[in-house]
Amino acid sequence: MIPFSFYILLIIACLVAYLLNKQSFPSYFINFLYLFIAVIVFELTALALQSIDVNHNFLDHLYQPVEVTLLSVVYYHVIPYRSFKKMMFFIIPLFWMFCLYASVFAEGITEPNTISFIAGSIIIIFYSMVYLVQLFTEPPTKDNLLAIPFFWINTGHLFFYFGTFFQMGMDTYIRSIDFALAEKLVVINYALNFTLYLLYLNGFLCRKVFKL
Amino acid sequence: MQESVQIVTIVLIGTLLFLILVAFVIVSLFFYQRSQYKHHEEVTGLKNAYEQELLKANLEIKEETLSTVAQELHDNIGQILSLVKLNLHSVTAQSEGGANPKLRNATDLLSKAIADLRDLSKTLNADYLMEQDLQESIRHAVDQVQKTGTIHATFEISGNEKPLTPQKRLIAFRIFQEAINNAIRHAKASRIDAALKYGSQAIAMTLKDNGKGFHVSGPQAKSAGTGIKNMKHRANLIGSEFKINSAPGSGTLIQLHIPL
Repeated sequence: MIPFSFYILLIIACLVAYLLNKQSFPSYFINFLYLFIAVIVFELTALALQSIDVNHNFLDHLYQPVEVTLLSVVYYHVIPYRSFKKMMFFIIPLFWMFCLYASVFAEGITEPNTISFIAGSIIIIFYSMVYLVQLFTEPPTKDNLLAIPFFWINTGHLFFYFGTFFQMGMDTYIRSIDFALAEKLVVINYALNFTLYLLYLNGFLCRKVFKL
Repeated sequence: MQESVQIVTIVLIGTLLFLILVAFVIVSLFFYQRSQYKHHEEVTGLKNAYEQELLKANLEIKEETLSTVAQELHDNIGQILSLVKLNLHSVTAQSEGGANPKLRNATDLLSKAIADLRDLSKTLNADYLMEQDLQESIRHAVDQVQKTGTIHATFEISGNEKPLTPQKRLIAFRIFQEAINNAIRHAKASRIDAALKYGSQAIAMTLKDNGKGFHVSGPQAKSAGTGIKNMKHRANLIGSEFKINSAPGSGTLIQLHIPL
């Protein structure tokens, strides 16, 4: 319960940090606000359902496409490559269709959403890598890299999605042979979630910490 | 049990490897950007230094040309006019029954032309200006404007006078000249207030006019750009801060902070 409370508090801290420094961020950062609200709503609903012993896996099936869509919109604005932007018009609808198929036909809405999570992770990792390539090819010459909010956010994405890739990828298999172990390994997910939101928080505060 | 240990090992090693890979990429990117940033800073520094040198050379050439013109005016045209004046004097002295009023008038006008020429020659001559106090040069320029009778010009000094290097004196005065010319020619000002304030760390030179004024960041500023740019560049050369405040119908205020 303590890690969960800390996790929620961290998301609320990110939300507050975003709102306090809203003026210094581009307008499309509003998607992070929507994302934080969505996370809080989904997580608290899941907690409520869990407390009355109702299966809440369907929430993850719903959340995954929402998260990927919101992050896609942000990357759409951050990455200037035209071909990348064009690609996004296909990626998002395809991902929604894929999620629908995976959730309804492949996994089942009451089972953990491993397939859609892995697919979503691949997409976000792809975006993050493109952003890294952009930073390598056109490194910012005016700003300190540590003072660029999106650098921190992107680093958070890389750590989280790369990190959970293995655990989530094997989750279904582990659950099938040792359910208790699968539940224990969720701690990796928690640790990486903390890392992700701490990096988000840093991203929203970095302009004040590492002055331009 | 053994299978569980194997799974945990695989998951942990796999996750760790991925995380190490990400950390490696991020750290490399950070150092790469830092080196690029430093390189860019160096290039910008060199470019700025080159531009400063170029500007300095340009200003030196300009000053040299002005000094040559001043010398020519003083030594050549001034001498000729003095000779003409001498001749006119002798003609006036020889004429019987008092000097012809037209002749006397011509002599007076000539005297005024010679005096104006000397003043002009002085303000053009860099060597002369570098020998003068900044406040003296400014006072002289303000007096010249006041003498026209169409513009009310004032000059105020406050604080204890502090010495400036000849280079700073010359450049500050050239900025003042440019500003006063702009106020007369472009702003059509009827009042100009100049001030020199001596502080402990810096000297503040200000020039305020009641002319037309303009949008400092508008298209008008672009057309008035060369003069303002010149003043800014000159101020940069002596490490001074140059500020300009203006708005249509509100006149213009020019401020120069010269560090001591």
